[in-house]
Amino acid sequence: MKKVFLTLALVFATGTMMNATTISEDVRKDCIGFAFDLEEIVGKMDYETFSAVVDLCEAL
Amino acid sequence: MLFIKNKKMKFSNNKIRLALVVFMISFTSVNGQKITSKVIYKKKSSTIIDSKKQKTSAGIFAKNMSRKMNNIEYTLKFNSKESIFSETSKMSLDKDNNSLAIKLSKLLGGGNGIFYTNRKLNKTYHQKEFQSEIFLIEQDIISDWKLTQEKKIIGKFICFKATKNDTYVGSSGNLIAKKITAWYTTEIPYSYGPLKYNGLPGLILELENDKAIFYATKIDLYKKNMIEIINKPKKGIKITQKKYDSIVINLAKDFRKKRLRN
Repeated sequence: MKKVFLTLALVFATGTMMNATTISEDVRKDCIGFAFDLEEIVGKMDYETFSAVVDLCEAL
Repeated sequence: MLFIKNKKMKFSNNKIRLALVVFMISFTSVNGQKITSKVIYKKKSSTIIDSKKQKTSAGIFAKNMSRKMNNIEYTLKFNSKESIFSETSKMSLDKDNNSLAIKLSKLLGGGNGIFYTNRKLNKTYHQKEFQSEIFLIEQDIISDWKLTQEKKIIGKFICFKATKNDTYVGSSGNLIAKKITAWYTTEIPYSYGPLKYNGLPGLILELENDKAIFYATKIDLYKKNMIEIINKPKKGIKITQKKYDSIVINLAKDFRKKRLRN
């Protein structure tokens, strides 16, 4: 039983880590695209915030 | 003889009293300029993430950013003449200060830099860094609020709703309209508030724009130990809001052109 729980926990942790990596890789691929995607969620950003998203994302 | 002595003593006592009163008045008025009141504000996101977009990379990021936003704290210090508003988050927030989500949560909805208001000059100065330059953006105290009778209680204060229309330079270089809603209390009759928003008949305890809500969490009014000097930010290129906006519009248009070329 313990083994099952341990395996499940490991699978869950690996999944979470992979998910986090996927986000940052997606972001790094296309920072301007990411900024536009973010705009679709939070609404139109001011240029200063928009350019900061791109700059900070490219600096990752 | 004794009567004359008593009279003299009375006279000198009165002199001392008068001197003490004058001293007290001058002491209070000098320090009156320095005694400040303090309001702590927190910021929360006003964005409701569409359920369809919640699982996308940007959706997950926006959710994380909203969470980080809840930890940001701002302080407004004010007296009868002037006020200063800036971010004063605790150190614990800065542990992973380099994270993209934290940096953007600070920018989104405003709050970047220092906002100084001087009632005598009828001006607000916003000191902020943009494109590796420090700007000192000047604008008049706001006078075009639409006051309403709508009210709600914040803490122990009755607050009234006021709205105004504002604009900002969007990512494409066009001016975008945004609605500002302020909840102010006349029980604290000082016309200051978060960011550059001021000019109401009382202190703003809650302010909402299209991205975030600034809300007061702690109000400290006039305590003897709260003697502080409010320093006007001096560093930076002095510029009017209108000129600053035109610089940002040009930069945004250039950015768009380059992006379309690529």
